[in-house]
Amino acid sequence: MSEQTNQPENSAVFSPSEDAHPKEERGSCMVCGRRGWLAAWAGWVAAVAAYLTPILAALRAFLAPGAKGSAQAGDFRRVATLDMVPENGTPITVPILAERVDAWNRYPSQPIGGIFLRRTEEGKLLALNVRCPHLGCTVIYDSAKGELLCPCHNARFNLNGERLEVNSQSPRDLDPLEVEVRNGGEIWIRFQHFRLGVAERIPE
Amino acid sequence: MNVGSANIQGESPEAKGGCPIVCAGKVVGQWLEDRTGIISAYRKIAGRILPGGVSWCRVWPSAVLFLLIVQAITGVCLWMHYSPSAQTAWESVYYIQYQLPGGWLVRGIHHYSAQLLVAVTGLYLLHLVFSGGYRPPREWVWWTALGLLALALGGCLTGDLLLWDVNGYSASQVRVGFLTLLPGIGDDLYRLAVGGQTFGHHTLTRFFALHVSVIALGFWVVFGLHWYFLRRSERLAADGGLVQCPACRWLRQWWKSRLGSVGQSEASTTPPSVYADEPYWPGQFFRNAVVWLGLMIIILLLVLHPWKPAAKEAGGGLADRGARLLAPADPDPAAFYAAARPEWSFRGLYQLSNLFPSNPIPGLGISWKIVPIFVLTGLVALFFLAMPFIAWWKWGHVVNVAAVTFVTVALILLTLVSYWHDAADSHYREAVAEAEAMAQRVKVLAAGLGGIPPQGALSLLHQDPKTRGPKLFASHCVICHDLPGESVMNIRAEKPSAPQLYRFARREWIQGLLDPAKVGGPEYFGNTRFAASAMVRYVQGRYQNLPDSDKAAIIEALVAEAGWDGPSGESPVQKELVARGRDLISQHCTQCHVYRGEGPRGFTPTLDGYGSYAWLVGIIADPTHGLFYGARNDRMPVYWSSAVDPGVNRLQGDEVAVLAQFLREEWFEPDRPLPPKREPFLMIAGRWDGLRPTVPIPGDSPAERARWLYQKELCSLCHSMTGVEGEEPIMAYRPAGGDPGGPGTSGRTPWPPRRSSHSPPAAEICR
Repeated sequence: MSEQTNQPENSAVFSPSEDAHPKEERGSCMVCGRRGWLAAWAGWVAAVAAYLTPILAALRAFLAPGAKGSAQAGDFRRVATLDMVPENGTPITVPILAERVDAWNRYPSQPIGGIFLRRTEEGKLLALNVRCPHLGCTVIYDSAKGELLCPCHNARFNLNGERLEVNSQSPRDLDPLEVEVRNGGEIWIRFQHFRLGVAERIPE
Repeated sequence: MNVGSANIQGESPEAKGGCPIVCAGKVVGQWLEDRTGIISAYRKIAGRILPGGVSWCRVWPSAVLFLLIVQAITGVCLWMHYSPSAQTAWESVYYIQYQLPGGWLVRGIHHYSAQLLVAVTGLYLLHLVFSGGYRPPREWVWWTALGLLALALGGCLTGDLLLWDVNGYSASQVRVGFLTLLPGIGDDLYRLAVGGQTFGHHTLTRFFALHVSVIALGFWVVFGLHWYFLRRSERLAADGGLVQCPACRWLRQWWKSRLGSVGQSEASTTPPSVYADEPYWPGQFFRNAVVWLGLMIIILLLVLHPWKPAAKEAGGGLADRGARLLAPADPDPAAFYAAARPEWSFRGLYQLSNLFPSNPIPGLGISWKIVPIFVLTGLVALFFLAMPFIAWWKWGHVVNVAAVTFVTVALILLTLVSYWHDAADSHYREAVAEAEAMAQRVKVLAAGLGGIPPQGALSLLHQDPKTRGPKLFASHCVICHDLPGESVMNIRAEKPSAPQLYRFARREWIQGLLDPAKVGGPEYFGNTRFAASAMVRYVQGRYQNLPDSDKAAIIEALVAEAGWDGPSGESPVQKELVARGRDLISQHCTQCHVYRGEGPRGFTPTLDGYGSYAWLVGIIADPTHGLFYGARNDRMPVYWSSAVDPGVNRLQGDEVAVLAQFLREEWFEPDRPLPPKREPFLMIAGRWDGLRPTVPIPGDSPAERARWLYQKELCSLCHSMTGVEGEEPIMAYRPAGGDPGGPGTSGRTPWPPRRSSHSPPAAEICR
């Protein structure tokens, strides 16, 4: 304070001239001399370090979902018993329940998909994923025609899951799933989804 | 700036020459400059002349801006992962802290940079006061700076609740509750703030919206205004544009004098109080950047707190670093967090309000608390706002400086007193330790069980026998039952008057029960109405005649009944021994106990599944059930009786289940196998209900039904009925009353009954 006592203007209002400090062109050289360079570089390094820390941390969190999980075939799970599947080859629909994890929440026993289950003409068990390979609609059993029908774009499949039209909307036949009969009558399948819209079966 | 000369076709002649990269860069740069003017704008900002030159005193607004930008970056990132509702707020913060990669760091930076924002803004205000920077013509500089501090504090107040942990929840309730002190409008303001009558979803959504929109945007607006007024005053004020604190002035003087020796001409010729103008670049940029980096280093140190030993937490590794997260808020008023405290920046006000009583001011009917919370705070705020005007007066600046010094010192002292007070308060320390233990536990549960149920993390704690069990035991059981175990199993009764329940139905406990020295002692039936009962006399008497191998077999069979196959199990039992023990129980115990379909009901607890989970659920729910003590029940209340009317239950079903699991020490521990899955409470309760005798009463005629009830229910415990013609005599299990049909035995029949014509030997009764 003491050095300013000879300057009474500290409590004064704006000076009469509109700009008390007319600009001189002193900044024509932005970085002058060795010290200037040093200050500029040190300043840049410090500023980048200071700002980059929160930016990198936030990016790390933001990009976390980008990491691709490896496709895993699910474990075999028990879905039905043999006596539930009609002898005459009619398919039944069985929902697949599984634990679902959504960020912090864990939901036990949630529907994650479904399967058609039927006995083929050779007497073998056939399990098909009900998800249409085109866009993922749920395929239904059209009992009047004895066909499987995707109601979204009318793609038709026979009971073995093969496409009925030459130019089907579906890029491939319905996806068969591995089936096993265990413990004398329990039906176990390995439930799996495959990538939509492509001709090959790529596990998801 | 010859911006017009840029080649807007993007194909400059030089680009075709020998310097493709450099020239292309030049072309792009020129195009950018031509279209946007960005490069000249940058040069203008970087080269702008600072009146009075570069100074450390100029870094304050830039430091505030830096923290504001850090808040925005981390805040938006947190926003992407946060979910404001009573069932998801804590859970999403838990996810950010322990599961989201880097989430703990983002959250830590956000939290601690917010604290620094308050601190830096506060120090900036002090700097303005002590250097005279608030004086005219800088009124608006000062007022906008005050606005920045208010917004920084508002951000802390609203952000604190968003965690929805016990501290934020309870502290916010106190804080928002202060609104009701205001006469007339208080209650309405309270409901507006809370979004209803009680804290819940809408409190969170309101606080969240305030936090991320009104306060965050308001900060940018007020900061922009502040910056504008500051620049304008620099340009127009007649005092040289720069206000400096004594420290800055000294530092500058020292620096200039050193430069002078190098040969700078200006420094030696300029009088010490007048400074030459200097460009922003690079001197001021360097100073600002050093402060930014310094602030970021402080933030990182606070986040990583390397001086604290790394606690082992659910997330592992660095996950326990960063900002604190206590257990999820419990709306149960009984669970109010007694050690709830505001952030450090409000501790002074907190302590001040503690100096005032809650009772009403005489004649006004308003609580004294209104004085510190609203009156004093309002007066101080008004004074701060009026300071530029006071400074017009000759001694005004001195008065202002003195008053601000007083307020600052008082706040610091009150803050210190508050922390000192807490450090010396054992109740506070206990509450904090308990809250930290609960926080630790809920994180262990959430991580160990693979996620949080949709009802929210609170249900993890509510259904956790390890933490909920002791509370239930302490409020319902310990008045009679002692629990002399270790850690959570140590809840001591002041005056035990019922069997102790530590390691109930395990081998040691059963051995004690069948120990003639103990069964009648205080650890078992000594303080109950069964102190001299048949059980005690049996153990002290005839049981002692059994060979030791039989006794061991009985004990093993009883231990097996409890089904200790869980993680807290007893050592495996020998099958042959158990099988023999079961036969022995049928032989010796069914005179009084129901076992495998034999024995009298409504008399003593059944030995089927003795001490098992379902058995414990049954006896806690209703000890007067015919398969437990029936009408002979001593003092144990019926804790649960209705599935549809919770009001009649002393404990709700899930609480009974938690107590049963607690007594069996069946809870999740990360280093132990998972506890066995248990059937829902209502399944078990329904099964016990089905075993009540009132449902199947055979017989068509009233006489037949009456006879059945007489025989199967309580009457025939004591009363025989022998003299009814045409009917088989009913023999009392334990003749102690008159025989309504017989020749008449009045008074108590001694036990064991004498062998007589209508009293066959006890062993034959149940055979």
